[in-house]
Amino acid sequence: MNNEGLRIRLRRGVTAVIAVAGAVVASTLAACGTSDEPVTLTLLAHDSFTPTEGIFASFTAETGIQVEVVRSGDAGTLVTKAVLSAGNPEGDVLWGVDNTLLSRALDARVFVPYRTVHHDDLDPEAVTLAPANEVTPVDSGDVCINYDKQWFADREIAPPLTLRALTLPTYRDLLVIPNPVSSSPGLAFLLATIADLGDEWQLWWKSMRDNGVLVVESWSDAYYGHFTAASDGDRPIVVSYATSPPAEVIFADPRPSEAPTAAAALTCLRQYEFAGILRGTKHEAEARRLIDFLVSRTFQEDLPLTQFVWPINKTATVPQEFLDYSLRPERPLTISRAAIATNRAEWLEQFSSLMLR
Amino acid sequence: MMPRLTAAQRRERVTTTRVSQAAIGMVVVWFAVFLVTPLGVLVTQNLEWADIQRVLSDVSTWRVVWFSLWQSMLSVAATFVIAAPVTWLVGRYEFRGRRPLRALTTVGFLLPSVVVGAAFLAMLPRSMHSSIVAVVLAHAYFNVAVVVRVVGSRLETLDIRLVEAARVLGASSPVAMGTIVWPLCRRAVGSAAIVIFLYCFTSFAVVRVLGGPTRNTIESDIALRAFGIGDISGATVLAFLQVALIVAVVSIVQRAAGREPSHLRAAAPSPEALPQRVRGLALLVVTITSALIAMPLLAVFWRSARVGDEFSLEGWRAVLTTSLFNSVMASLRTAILTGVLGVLLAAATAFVVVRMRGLGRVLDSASVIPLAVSPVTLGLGLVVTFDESWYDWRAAWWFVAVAHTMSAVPLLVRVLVPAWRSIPSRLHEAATVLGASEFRRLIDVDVRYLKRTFVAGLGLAVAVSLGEFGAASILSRRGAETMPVAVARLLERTGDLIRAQAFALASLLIVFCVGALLVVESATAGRRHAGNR
Repeated sequence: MNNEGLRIRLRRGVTAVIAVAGAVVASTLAACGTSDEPVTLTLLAHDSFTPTEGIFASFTAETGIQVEVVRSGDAGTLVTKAVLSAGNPEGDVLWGVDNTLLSRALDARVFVPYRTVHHDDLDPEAVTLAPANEVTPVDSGDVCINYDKQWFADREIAPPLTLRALTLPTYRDLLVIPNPVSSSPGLAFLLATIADLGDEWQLWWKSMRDNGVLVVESWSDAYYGHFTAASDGDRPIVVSYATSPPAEVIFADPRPSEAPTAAAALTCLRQYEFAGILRGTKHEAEARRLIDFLVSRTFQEDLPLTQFVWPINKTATVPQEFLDYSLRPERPLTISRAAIATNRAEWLEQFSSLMLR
Repeated sequence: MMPRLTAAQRRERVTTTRVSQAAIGMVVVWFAVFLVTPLGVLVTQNLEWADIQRVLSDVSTWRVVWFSLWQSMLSVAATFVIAAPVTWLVGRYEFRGRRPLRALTTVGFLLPSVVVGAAFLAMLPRSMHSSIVAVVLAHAYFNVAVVVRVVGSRLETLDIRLVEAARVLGASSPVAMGTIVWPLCRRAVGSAAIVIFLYCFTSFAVVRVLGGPTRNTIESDIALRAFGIGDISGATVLAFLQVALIVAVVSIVQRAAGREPSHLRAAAPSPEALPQRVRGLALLVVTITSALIAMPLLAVFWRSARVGDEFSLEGWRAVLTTSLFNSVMASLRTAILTGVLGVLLAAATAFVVVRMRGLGRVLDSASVIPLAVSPVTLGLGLVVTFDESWYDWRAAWWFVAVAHTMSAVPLLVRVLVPAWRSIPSRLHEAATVLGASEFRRLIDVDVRYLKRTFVAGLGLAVAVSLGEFGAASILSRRGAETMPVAVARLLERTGDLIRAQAFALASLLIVFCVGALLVVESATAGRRHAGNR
């Protein structure tokens, strides 16, 4: 082969590679922008964070601060990422750490404390979960067993109303749950079984394993991938929220007179979600204003019909149709903040041993 | 009087110079900082003694070990069954289309494991998602190439006259196979089995995507403990258990494979032309193999252009115009950097291996060590080590590439060392006589001679980086997730449009990897050509 020709061709090749590399690097640098521009805050959230399109416009008009929402997986994944990047965060504000995962985030010092101007309007029970204001409560909901009413009516089987009932042979191969290790409703459900069954919780899971419970990666995969009432799946019982039935009505066209699904009130565990300012943010002052906005009436009143959770700000009005179809268990199952903080890892470890390995 | 030196001593003495010192320094510093330190930090700062006992005495740990073992053995067996016909064909016979066929079988190996997972999701019926069958098929899919390459090359050099002689002397066909072909191929089969076993044993992305949350290998259990539960200590125990098991299995298989019987060695004739009587059979094998390899890929492209049951390019539009495009740029950036760093580090390692006797041999064996450290463990180590003050590099754009060099360099060294050894020593001697300095000789003789090998190595490193999932899933950050990480995240969600986006991104990844493969193929083809000159 002609050596000169080869050299020229190689040189061209090398030039091309350098050009491509240069372009890639340059575009990255360009994306970083300059400091004179108005501040854009990055709000990290889980996949279920779906406020009304353009809700941040009024915030931007008032403060000049832009908000970019970035969703990354389930709450469990979100918190894991936040823990690994503690002090050098991927965004400025995080939405969606809940009381089941809070201790993990606080142990890793993920947040900087801030007491919001709306502090006194917030549900006091939720506020006590973060006594040093490390995070601010933003909403609440109840994680419960949901079932497909039609499915049970067609077969003339009584739907399961308690956790114990689920171990009966009648309900064999009917339940699908999100993985407690990666999903926060999944973890809430695991805690519900511990709150309800006490020392027998592991025995209960063992019987559930024999009774064909299906564990999938995320809540959306369980609900929209396997639940008979919301997908072409074959599982008529699912772990979801007490506020999922109203969602089935309000999103349906035409609207049915009653919800096609129902929540079993005796299986519910109350879940509080929080937002916090990520330690290491370069825009702490702006992040505080965003936290204030997230618990303001404007934002709180948007929550019920977009994310199907209850507002945490007591002054917010809840739409009548949401109240009509929702179940708010009067005495939900509870587990103390301290018990979760001490035992979360061990419980998950025991669950994994039983169900995942 | 100066003592007389042997030739080898003289050679070593001559070459322990500034260039080799620089090469050693570079390699040692790199691996000390980015491999040894993170593992050290994991052990010294995160491992607690009580956890060793806790993890090892837990029955479920051993269930995971058992699952890792049997699914990988099943995968090895499945791979050999699927690969046997095409390997025999490619290894024994010369025919038109042999080279493209070989290249086609390699595609699977270079494809990202996430993409192979996605491809089987796209192709298999829903009832087979989250099943062990899907996992084993996907494993076999990307390991067929190993059998074709490793065992095929051995078959190529097998002297068929030995078999003919045996037949003439009255041996039946199976007897000839058992006494001639098998002893000669045993070692190659053993090596291929080890490689496949390692890939399947430490499988992460495939079991994640196709196995569902209730099937865990040791590797995915490490991730589950470390990231799901936050039990870094338990994860570290498992990581070391995994290394121990790998070492044990590899040494057992190597011993079983044994040495090649020397009395059967013979000169290597080139493969014979395809005889008339096997033409039909050959055509069948070629057709089936090509279909098996192409089908999952076509399924990915097909699904990328469908939203629900309708034809739509919305998935592609999203990949090219929304923030998903950031992951394309992130992957390219990481892959290019991995390529450059990988070639530099591998060249430095190969230089030492080729030029220095004692130290070279040590480095030669040591250079495979990074492969035994699982990517998830490495990612975990890096993220807990470089997390404060000036060495908080978690958000640095080059951090993922650092982890990727650990997977790429060992492979590149394996490619570079034989090529480097093939440089005729007279070229060096001539250059020395003409007064060239050592550095000058390195550039004008070695680098010039090895240019094509370097290009091939670059392509290989780029392909490795494009596909790597374990470390990237831990290290890559918002707005700069690599493509496999983005694909896996999209696959976990539901919704027709999101599925289409996942498959569009996976399609693009296939295109990039095939591009890298073509670079490797054309560079090595050119090299062979130049060698025949």
